[in-house]
Amino acid sequence: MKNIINPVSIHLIAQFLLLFLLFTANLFIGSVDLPFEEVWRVLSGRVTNDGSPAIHIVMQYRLPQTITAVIAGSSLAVAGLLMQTLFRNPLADPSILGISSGASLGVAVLLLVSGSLIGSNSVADGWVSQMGLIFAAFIGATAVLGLISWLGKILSNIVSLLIAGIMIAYVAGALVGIAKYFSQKEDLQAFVLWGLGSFSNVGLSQLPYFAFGSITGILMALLMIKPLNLLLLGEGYAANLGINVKRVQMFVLVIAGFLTAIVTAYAGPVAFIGLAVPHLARNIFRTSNHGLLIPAVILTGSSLALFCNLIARLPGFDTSLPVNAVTSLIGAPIVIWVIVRRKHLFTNE
Amino acid sequence: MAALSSTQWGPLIKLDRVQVVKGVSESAFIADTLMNQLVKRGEVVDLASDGQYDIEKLMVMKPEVILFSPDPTGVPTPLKMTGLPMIAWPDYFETDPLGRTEWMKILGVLSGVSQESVVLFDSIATRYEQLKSLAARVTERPVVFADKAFAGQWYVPGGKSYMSQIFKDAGATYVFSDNESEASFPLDIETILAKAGDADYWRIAQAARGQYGYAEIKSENEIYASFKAFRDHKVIYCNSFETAYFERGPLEPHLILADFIAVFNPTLITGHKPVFHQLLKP
Repeated sequence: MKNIINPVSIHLIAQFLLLFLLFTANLFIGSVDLPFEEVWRVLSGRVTNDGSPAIHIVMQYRLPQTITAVIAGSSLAVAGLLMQTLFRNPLADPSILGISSGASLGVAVLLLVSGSLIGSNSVADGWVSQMGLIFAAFIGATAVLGLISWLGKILSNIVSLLIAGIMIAYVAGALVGIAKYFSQKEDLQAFVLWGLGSFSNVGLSQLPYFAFGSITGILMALLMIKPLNLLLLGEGYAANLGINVKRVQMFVLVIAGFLTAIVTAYAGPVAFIGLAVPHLARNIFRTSNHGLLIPAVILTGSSLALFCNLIARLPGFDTSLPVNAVTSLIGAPIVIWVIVRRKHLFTNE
Repeated sequence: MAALSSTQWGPLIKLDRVQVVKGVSESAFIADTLMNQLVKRGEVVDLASDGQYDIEKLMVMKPEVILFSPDPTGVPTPLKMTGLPMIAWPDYFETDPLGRTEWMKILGVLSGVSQESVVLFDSIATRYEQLKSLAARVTERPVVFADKAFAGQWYVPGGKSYMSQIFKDAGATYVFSDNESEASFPLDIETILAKAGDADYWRIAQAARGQYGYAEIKSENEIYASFKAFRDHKVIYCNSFETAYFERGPLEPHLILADFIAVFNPTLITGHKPVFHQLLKP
């Protein structure tokens, strides 16, 4: 009995309830003020005719968006946690190695460069499909991930790799800047919109692919619990315990990079969740054990993404705010709050 | 002259004065066949590509006047540096279809065919007004909405915009006609679904260079299949590349209007051949 009511279980149960609550709220609340009963009738399968807008709004729009937020939030949170542990740096986040910059570059090539080459506004002309965007972002992100992994084999320590990653991000950013400089304003606007992130890009039929990729990455991360805990103790200590530090680091890097790549491909660059959630989870659960931290950041990351998505689409405005702006607006104060409370940021307790 | 805005070419071609144009912009995007030939033959020079002015070419050419689209700061700084005479051309701010057309009178004055341009404008205005009063008689006004979403935002024409006015004149009800904006504004996709989910028609204009149909629309975003206009195959489509819509449309709004009337109320105009817009075939 004592075991069940320990603080960790209470926190886990509370987090789970919060997640459930926010998930439901995302289905019931949106820019359009749908009556509570109508949403309930749709969800319980009692509205089946195509005539009602509610069924389309809830099933085709809010549901995939809500699931996307959960997948994106949990994946980014796990990726952020892995990066912070890998670099033993509280400021590390999924974008630190230039992987999301790589995704931006892929999308910039598709939206900004290819349009000029064939003489057409890519978006205004409608030849850029959602699948094309996802594909371009994923190619860009995995190309950078490949480059980073290759450098990881050559470079002797992880800090050099971090610097190399930041440099790659600069190069990708500069190439994006050049592409932006020489592009039509319609394409530029599309690129800016993509860069603001959105959880509504993934349709129901694409959702399984997104979920499969993301769950694979998270499962891989769960297999790394023990080596991750040892990494926190320092490379020398981990090596003494018989861990192949280099191999573990590369493995962690590839998992985090893959999760970042897939989320950026499907939702655009979503800032801050990956940075803020691990701090939030460490603060709530008071642990540095990845066996608990990984499930914790999955719950907290999903909830934070759902909360941000809810804020972005509050009723009464007809329009929605860009997700990327909302995550930063909410994420930044959270990190400050943690620092103020703890007077310090930890990657390990 | 340097006619940097594509909407300036149509009137000059129609008035048979295109020879006054020595420079244009963004030649990669020109849809008009004659203008494309002139650029290819080198009789007209491309003075700006990818949003950047080629100021040196402009200064070598020394046009008597530069007609340009103002940006938010007014005159774009590179153009200011040339010190050449300039006329700002904010024709796209006109929300009245004929108001946009009327800019041709200035082109008439500049190219020495002032009288002809007034006559041409009057004939277009008369035809537009005839069609408008024809459509005003309809008793049932179909509901129409426009454009597509991108990255979670759906920009729709404002209620006081050019498109909104043409929809109204063509005998339709534009979903967002109550809106007070003259420019396009973004809405959440579910707002569009709630307000336009069961609208009768959906208008899309873009410069596609290949097959474009209902399957392509759905592949861009699955949510589009939730619209009644999509399911009923009532998408009014304009391929602006093939029809040179963005170049010639402002010059000939009566043709835009006629296309729409022929879709909304086919009995009003019989035997109409679509110029810019037509129903996308299933």
